[in-house]
Amino acid sequence: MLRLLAVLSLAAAACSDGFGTGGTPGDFNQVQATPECGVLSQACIGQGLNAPIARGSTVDLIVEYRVAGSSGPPIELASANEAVLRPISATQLAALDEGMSAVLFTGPDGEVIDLVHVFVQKPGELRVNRYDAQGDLLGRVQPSSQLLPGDEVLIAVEAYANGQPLLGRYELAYATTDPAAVQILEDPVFGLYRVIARRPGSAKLSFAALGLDVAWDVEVLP
Amino acid sequence: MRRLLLAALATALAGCPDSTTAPYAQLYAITAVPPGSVASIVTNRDDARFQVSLSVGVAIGARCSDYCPGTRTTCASMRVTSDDPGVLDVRSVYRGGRQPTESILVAKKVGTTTLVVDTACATEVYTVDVLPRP
Repeated sequence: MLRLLAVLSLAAAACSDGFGTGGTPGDFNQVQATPECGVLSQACIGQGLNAPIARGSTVDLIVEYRVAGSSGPPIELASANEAVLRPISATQLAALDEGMSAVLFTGPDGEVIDLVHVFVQKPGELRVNRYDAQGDLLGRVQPSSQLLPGDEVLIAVEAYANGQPLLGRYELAYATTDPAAVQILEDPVFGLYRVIARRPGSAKLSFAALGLDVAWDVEVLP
Repeated sequence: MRRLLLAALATALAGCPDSTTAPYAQLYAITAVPPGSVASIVTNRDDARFQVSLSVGVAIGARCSDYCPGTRTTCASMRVTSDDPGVLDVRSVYRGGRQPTESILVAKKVGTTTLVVDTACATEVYTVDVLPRP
């Protein structure tokens, strides 16, 4: 039994590379980059930096270094193709155009500590996804729904291309045709919205971002 | 005994460098090519073809190797320089310390330029094509 435990612990140790989980390792395995997820969970939590980034959005990175004999230096990012992807702060990238670019993680003298390649894609559709209170995806909302007064639905409006969820933060415009019947509130967590059924009636909820829009018809039953 | 001596002599001769080989320096890729991209370094002395082809936006690690008669170090005093850093940028590598024989080649903009690899005894000039993405 002890032998079995020893073998299992060795196997577990072999699987761990010392980094946190879910990040994308660089070519030299000295950096692991993870997008700060907020709520864009479909792409962010599901695929991390392995998902394409939506054109027109920004991505905040959590960068974890593993440099032998040293702590990680202050983060500095550089882009191979600034027409596609441009660093706009120490940890933030702006996706400017479709294409692909290497992201270089550089040291104080500009030397490259590691690199990853990322893709930027034009989004083709917005989807309204429903989440539970813990932030887990419940599914895509139907085009029209019925709620009861007092119901509260937590949603995120996320960008997709050819069915693939895209990574990125972007400003979302939203409106309801009857706020007395159905109200939209921004959740304190970026990217999450609360749709609250106030009183019987019907409202069309509309959302727009990245040059796309999506509507959701909600009827509040008596 | 005679056979043994002949075998030892043949082994020794095979292991010796060809004294007619001229000094040379060359690069080869050490990192992966992203999907749907071109990233190749061709070194063909027979056809005098020295070519770097990269899709725009690609960055690859490249390591130098050379042959310098009478020296044991590899790519001593290596310098890799791009004729047009706006098309192809060259950066140094920190990988468990600064790597004196490695560089990162960064394809920044579509175009053509040259890349010069200089070591203690040899110089090689690569033609560089930075290609648009399909």
